[in-house]
Amino acid sequence: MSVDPPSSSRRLKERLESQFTFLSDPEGVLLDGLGIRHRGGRNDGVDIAYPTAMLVDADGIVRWVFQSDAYQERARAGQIFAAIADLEGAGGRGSP
Amino acid sequence: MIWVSILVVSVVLAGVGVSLTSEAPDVQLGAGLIIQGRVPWVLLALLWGGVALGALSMLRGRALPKLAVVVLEVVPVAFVTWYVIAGSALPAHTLAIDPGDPFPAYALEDQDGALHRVAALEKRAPALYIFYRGHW
Repeated sequence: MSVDPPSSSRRLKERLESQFTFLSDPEGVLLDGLGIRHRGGRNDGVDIAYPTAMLVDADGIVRWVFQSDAYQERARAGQIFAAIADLEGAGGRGSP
Repeated sequence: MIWVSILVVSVVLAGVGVSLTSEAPDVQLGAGLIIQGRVPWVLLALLWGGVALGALSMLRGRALPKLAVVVLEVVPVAFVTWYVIAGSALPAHTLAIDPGDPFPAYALEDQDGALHRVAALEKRAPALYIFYRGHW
């Protein structure tokens, strides 16, 4: 998910040969809802997201969050798979 | 000494290049041995140490060709230094969501223009949301 328009997301998806869905949030509605709007974060002054990953369960509840305030630092695959395994271990709902 | 300088700087820069372009998750910047930490001081010390060796070697003669090498080293090393330090100084902020909170409702288009509309607390398939900076 990014503030890029769908056309940019499509190019990126094709370039990466990714199976993921690329959602566009050009107004940053979710960035405000989640508190991850990096104002003027892009070189041309456009607001973008702080790099963030969230795992959401079948009830729409956030079960795991990764965030860093350094843009080089991202959730690693091992961290993500561990969070998914925890969620699966809790029957898809996570711990209360 | 100039050859040691070239070796150190080029090998570390190659490591940075692999780290930045690799699709293997454990090779990405932040995960490599010399790139650990918010500001990778070890990486920067290696790079600038290599440049310093090149500069010192100028004292041993043939200063002009060595100066050219040092300049060639300084440009990418300065860029990497700016990149890692600038990226480590993002403004502080507070998440509006903690684990256990509902993910907000949204109605957003995907890469094909198809609308994805989900209400807060609506039943869904569990999903991983990754927010990236975009503009790639």
